[in-house]
Amino acid sequence: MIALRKVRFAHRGRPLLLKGCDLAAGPGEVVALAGPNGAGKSTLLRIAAGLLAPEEGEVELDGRPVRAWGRLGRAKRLAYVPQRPLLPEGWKVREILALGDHPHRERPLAPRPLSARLAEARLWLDLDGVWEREAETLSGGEAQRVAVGRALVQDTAHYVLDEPANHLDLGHQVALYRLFGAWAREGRTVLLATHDLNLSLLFGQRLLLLNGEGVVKAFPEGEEARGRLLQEAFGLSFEPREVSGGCVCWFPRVEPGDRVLSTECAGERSVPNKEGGRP
Amino acid sequence: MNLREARALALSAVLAGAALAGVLFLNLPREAPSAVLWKVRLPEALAALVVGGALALSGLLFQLILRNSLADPYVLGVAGGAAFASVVTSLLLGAATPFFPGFSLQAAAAFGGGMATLLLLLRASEGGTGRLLLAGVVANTAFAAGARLAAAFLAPERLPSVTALLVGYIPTPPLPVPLLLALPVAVTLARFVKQGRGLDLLLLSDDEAESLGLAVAARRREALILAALLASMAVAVSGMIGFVGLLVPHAARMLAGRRHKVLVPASVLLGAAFLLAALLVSKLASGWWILPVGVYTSLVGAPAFLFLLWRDAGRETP
Repeated sequence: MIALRKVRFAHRGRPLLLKGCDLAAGPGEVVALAGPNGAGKSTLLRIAAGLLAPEEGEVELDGRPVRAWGRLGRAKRLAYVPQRPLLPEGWKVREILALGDHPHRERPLAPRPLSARLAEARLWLDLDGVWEREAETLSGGEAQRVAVGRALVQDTAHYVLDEPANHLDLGHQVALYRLFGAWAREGRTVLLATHDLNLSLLFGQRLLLLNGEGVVKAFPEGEEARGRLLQEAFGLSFEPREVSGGCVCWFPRVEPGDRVLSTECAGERSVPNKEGGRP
Repeated sequence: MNLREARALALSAVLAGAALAGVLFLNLPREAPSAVLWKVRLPEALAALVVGGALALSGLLFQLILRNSLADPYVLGVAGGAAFASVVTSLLLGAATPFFPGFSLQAAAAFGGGMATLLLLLRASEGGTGRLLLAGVVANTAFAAGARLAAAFLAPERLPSVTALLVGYIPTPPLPVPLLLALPVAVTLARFVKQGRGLDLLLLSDDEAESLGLAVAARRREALILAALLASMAVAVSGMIGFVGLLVPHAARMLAGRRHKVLVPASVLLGAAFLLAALLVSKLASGWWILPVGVYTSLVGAPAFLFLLWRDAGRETP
């Protein structure tokens, strides 16, 4: 259980970013946090992971203040994957994954042997082809999968991941979201930041929006309310489309002139006006 | 520890042992061999062994702290501070002023200057790795300029001692001096071999290391203090011997892989082996010319390092 209550935070010398955020993610849940650039998603996730102390408000992990667990205690319960993981130069993929075992080196021992967790990460994150490769030879997507794999090896009840699908091709995005589903079925808690609303909706994740005003809002029921909230958050009008399985996805409304392949000549290049439309 | 790591450690130990034996026993004079052995060879060999180990370990730690394998013990201004303090002391007080058996006041000042730079580094490290590197490099340049300026006012007969400090040499100190320096090397070694994987985590981003349970700020501060201490002490004993701190950690990584639990002892052993070998070469060559040992480490180290860079130039990101 990850719970944030009335969290307020400003980076030093900057205006207030988070103005009273409430967020709760329980066991068996996958919670996806979306919102415009710079709204504070990463900051909120770092606070939830206990890496940053809020100015005001409470942050709890399994009913205790997250900082009260101590560093190792927290690391045994919560794994965090940053937006831009830093893989150590010259290290092989399997060695980087094994670093995830660090919090379990001291007693009590980890629930499962390291070799089993390594094999699981290798399978779920499709790391067979890069297992013996060195970090600096990996592509962006491969590096991202290695970072998530290290969190899997950490084998915690809570996962906080900052845009974990970054740089991943569609096939690996789907595999990653299936992994989150498997974690949820095992009773773990998953909290992630994302820009892909539709993929989260397709996988049945609970969607939250951090809007430009520094407040977390639940994705409401009803198409009208949803459309309004998306319009407020992103400054675009959206339209719903039902896809197979009855899931409703949301796409930005596109003007005829936006399409590159439109038949009529686009004319001179024009700079978008303030509202984001064409003049 | 796996087979490769064990083999690397054994090889490093054998190399260090062979170089030590060479320095001690090669070309012992016919008259009074035991006096030469005990009074000259042993203190020299111990000084080279400990200074080599200290420089290599310090270099490894700086490379870790800065996440940059081009760092060495001198890049962050510790050596510049030591040189500056030492030259200014020479300027104010005259030629080598005894301070402690085997230590001149200049040497003590060099140690003090190096450690004073640490205060700047500790402050700068709060602002992150990039700021630490900038502050260190700028401090080093400023100190080096200051040392040159002070040297310009130095009486010509005192210049050789300054030059020796800048190039690096192996003294023949009384036995307590290398033993004194051996203490922080041993402490650092024990501490970091025990931390093992915790040290490896410093290579990750701060958030990742912290989320894996590491007290990042405290661990980095500790490594910085010990690295600066080792470098300052080494400079005080033997001047600024080049390339040991830069090259040896690379060699250790080639032999032993990436885990610091093994890299730390391997670097100490290989650093000792490298400096002992350089000392041996300088002794063997002394029939023709007499050069400080720092010349040899740079003569071998610089091309070796360039070779590594040249070899790796092709294999960057895909």
